[in-house]
Order: sequence, then structure tokens, then C-alpha cells
Amino acid sequence: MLALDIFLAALVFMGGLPLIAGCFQFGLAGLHCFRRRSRVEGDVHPRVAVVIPAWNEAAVIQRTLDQLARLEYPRERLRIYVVDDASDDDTPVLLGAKAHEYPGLVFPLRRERGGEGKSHTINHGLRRVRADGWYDAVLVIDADVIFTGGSLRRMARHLADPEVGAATAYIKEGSRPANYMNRFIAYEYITAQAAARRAQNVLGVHACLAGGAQLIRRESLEAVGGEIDTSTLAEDTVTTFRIQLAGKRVVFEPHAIVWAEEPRGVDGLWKQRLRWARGNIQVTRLFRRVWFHPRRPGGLGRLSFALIWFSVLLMPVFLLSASTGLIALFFDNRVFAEHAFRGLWAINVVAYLFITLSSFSIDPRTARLCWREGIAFPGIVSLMIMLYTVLPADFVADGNVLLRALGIHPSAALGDALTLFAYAWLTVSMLAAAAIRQMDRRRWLAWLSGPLVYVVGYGPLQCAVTATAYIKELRGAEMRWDKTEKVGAIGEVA
Amino acid sequence: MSDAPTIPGVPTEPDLAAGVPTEPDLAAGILTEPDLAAGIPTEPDLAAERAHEERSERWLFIRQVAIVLVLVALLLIHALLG
Repeated sequence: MLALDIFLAALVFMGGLPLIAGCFQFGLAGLHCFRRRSRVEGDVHPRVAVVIPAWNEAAVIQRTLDQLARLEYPRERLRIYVVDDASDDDTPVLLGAKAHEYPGLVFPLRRERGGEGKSHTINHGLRRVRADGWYDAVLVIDADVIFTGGSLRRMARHLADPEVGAATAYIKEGSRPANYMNRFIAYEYITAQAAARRAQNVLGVHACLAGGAQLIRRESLEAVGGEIDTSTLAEDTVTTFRIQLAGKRVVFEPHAIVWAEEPRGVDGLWKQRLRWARGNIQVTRLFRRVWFHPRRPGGLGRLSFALIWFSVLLMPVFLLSASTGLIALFFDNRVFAEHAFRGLWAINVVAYLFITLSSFSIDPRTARLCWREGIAFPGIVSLMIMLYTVLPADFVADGNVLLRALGIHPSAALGDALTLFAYAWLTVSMLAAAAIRQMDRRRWLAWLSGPLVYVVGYGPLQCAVTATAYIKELRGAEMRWDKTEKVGAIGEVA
Repeated sequence: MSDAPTIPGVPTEPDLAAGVPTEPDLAAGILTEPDLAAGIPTEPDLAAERAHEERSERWLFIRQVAIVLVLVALLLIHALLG
């Protein structure tokens, strides 16, 4: 029986792996000032061809182009190719007007037969850029992103180092006024971009160039075939992997700020993240010969990189494992189950405090906007479980006294039910998040989805999306490019 | 001074003496007068900007260390209180 208990406890503590990986990343992010710098970082202004895929972007494209025209970058070293993917709104007209306003800067291109997806649209632009032959580097961006004045200049200086094949920027959520979902995403981007990408700079290997800001050196683009991948839903990740496997480095420039407009509701977020999660599963399969092979170029086969990659990709599996282990232990050895439960959630508490405080420290300006969402990120239910875990046993017993004083007499059956609920929560939270998404799609229930995200947590929502992505991939579901709707909500930016 | 004929767009000797960037300069991204007029930062601006960025990264490290120390202290207090 002891062997079984140890096995079940191991299942439980697998649930702590993503947290340990998270702490590892935030620890590395703090070491960013000691990172391996580019061998040369200079004031260089390579000729940059910007490629913007645009499908029905009338609400956002003008501002994006105006902002690019105002970049602190020599005008004669910048060309902007906007690829209109057979838009049926005012996009072609607006692009014509902008080409007239910025002659020699804005070059509208048009695909008469569109609908093949973003990667095909980008490739249309890349073919034209390569045919012109004018460029030293290509900058692939989204139609809605707003580059701050010095952002491209800060990214470009890394290309002074011939070892650097590509650079990316810090994408921030810029919708104003920001609703609850925008604030959750703003906080998430501190963790997933400002922190995680700093950590990847320190490790010297990157998982993904941010899709909205990919500056790629000409030689690197040619080395990966001159076009981007169209076989997966994560073309930016595939490009990142291939550049590194071709022997060049990828770097993140945390001081190059780019603002983006992100979804404003659960359903929009779900569609966007489902595409990303399915893309990551496809990438994992595509590069199956790279994982755990430390000698592969670019560091992609290192254990440290695998820890970061798989802790996110396999998170639903880890959470399911923890719940299964706890429930099985509950029926086998209750005392041991309670110890394992407290141990797992103690890891949760420490990781939560470290990651939350570190996130606030990494980007205090954004944290002032979204600190409530940062605190509520794991969900109020998980926060209550954490509180229960750290409170002394006497205090919990006193709590029972309090309940009795209120006329509530917790029976043994109620106690068992609550215990099982807490043990199963890591898995139940994913199901609850999936239910919130269904509610968000029904007009008469949608108002509830916001408050419920705070209760269930934004983290579990992401895990539920990843779990759904596995199901879709196993079923071989159609790869759909569900474009995130943009309305031009980005506020005034510095 | 050279007697060579002037080719449009190619700096002449007097141009070069006056500091007009040559093609290799331009290829390396040297700023021109219109660039400077458009507000593109000069070397001293960039040096100050880089110094600021480096300082902010060092402060990030210091804050991370402080967070770790606070968490360790909290863990010790929790352990002492049983």
C-alpha cells in the first residue's frame, strides 16, 4: 500500500510542475540584467520592409499606418507593404488614400482571392518584398498594432550583431477603456511576455516571436525558405524555431513597446487562444525530433527549454493528474491525502506570491491598471483553498465553531463533500471555465461570465482552452482562422 | 578638388568635406539631416536611453531579490508559528 500511496502522491505533485516552471522563469527574468548580450548593439537603421496582412481592417489600419509613418526611424529606410486579403469593407479605399498620403512609404497590395488565412496573406507580401530586393530586414506585424516611436529602432539595433536572426517587442494590451477581460490579458502579458521572454533571453532560446512584431533579418528569412509556414496555426512559432535551428539567435527587446487590441469577452478570447494552443500542439509534433536533444542548434533541445514549453502545453494533464491522485488517496489513506493536498497547495501559495509580486514589479505601470485581475488570476475559489492551506489547523477548527454559532452544523458527509470538491478543484475549474464560455455565447447569460471568470480564474480558462485544443487535434478538426474582431479601441499611447 | 563630373546623388568632394554621408554610410544607417529634423535621436540621446534601460533592468533584479527575501521571511514566520 505504501508504494501505491507514493505513486499517488507523485501524481499529486505533478500538479506542482507548472508552478515550479513558472517560478523558474520569473527567477530567470530577474537575472535579465546579467544576460548574454548581443555581441554588438549599435545605432543601426537597416532597410526594413514592413509586411501587414489586412482583411477588413478599416477600423484600425489608418492609425497603424500613421503611427508607422511617425516612427523614430529614417523614412527612406522604411517601406510598408499592406496586403489586402480581398477585404470587402473600406480597407482598399483607405489603403489607396494612405499610399497617396505617404508616397514611397506605403505600398498597398491586393489578393483578389482571399480567405486562405493570415500566413498565406503574409507570404504574398513576402514574395513582393523579396522580388523588390530592397530590404535588409522584414517586419511582420498585425494590422491593429500600434508601434511606439522608438520601438522599431530599439528592435533594429540588435541586428547590428550578425548572430541575431530576429528580434521581437513587448506587446501590451492597449484597449481603453479596458474592460475586465482586457485587464486580465494585460496582466497575462506581463507574465507571458515581459517576464517569460526576458527569461528566454537569459536562456538564449525563444519559443515564439510575438506575432504582432517580428523583425527578421534578410539572411534568416532566406535561410527558412523566404516564406512562412502555412501548415500550422502557429506560423510565428514555426518561424522562430526555424531561425534558431538555422543557427541564428532570437532576442526579445523589452523596451520596444507595441500596443495591441485584444478580445473583450470570454468567447473571443477562447477562439483566439484555441488557435494558439492548437498551433503549439502542431509545432510540438512538427519538431518532434528536436525535443530533449541538447545538441540541436539554437538550444531548442535543452531540458530547461522543454520545462518551459511542456509545462504550458501539458498543464491540463498535470492538473488532471493532481486531482486524480488526491481523490484516489482520499479513498485509500485520508491522512496521507491531506498532507499531499496541503503540500501541493503550499507550493501553489509560494508560486502565486512570487509570480504575482514579480509581475507587479516587472511592469508597475500596467500593474496599476490590472492589479485586481493579477490577484484574482487563479480565481477566488483557488485563493480560498490557498488561504485554508496556510491557516493554522486551530484557526480552521475555530472556523467550524464560527459556523456552528451561525447555526450551520457541518456534518461528516458535508465535510467529505467539501474535501472532495477541493481535491477535484484543479480539474473541476477547467470544466467550470468551459461552462463560462458556453454562458458567454448565450446573450441572456453573458452578463454572468465576467464575474464568474474572477471566481473560477483566468488561469483555469487557459487550461480549459488547451484541453479543448487537444480534443480538436485528436479529432482532426478543421483548422479555422477565427480572426479576432478589432474595432480600433487602443487608447492614447506614449 | 577632383575634376571628375558630378553624378546625381553621389556626394562630391565638397559634399564629403561638409560631412554629407556616402553610400556606405547610408547603408550602415548613418542619420541624414532630414532624419535629425524628423526627431530621430542622436548618439547622446541613445546613450542616455540605453543607460536608463540598463538601470531599469538592474532595479528589476534588486526588486526580485527583495521579493524572494520577503517570501523566505514569511515562510520562516509560518514555520515558527507552526
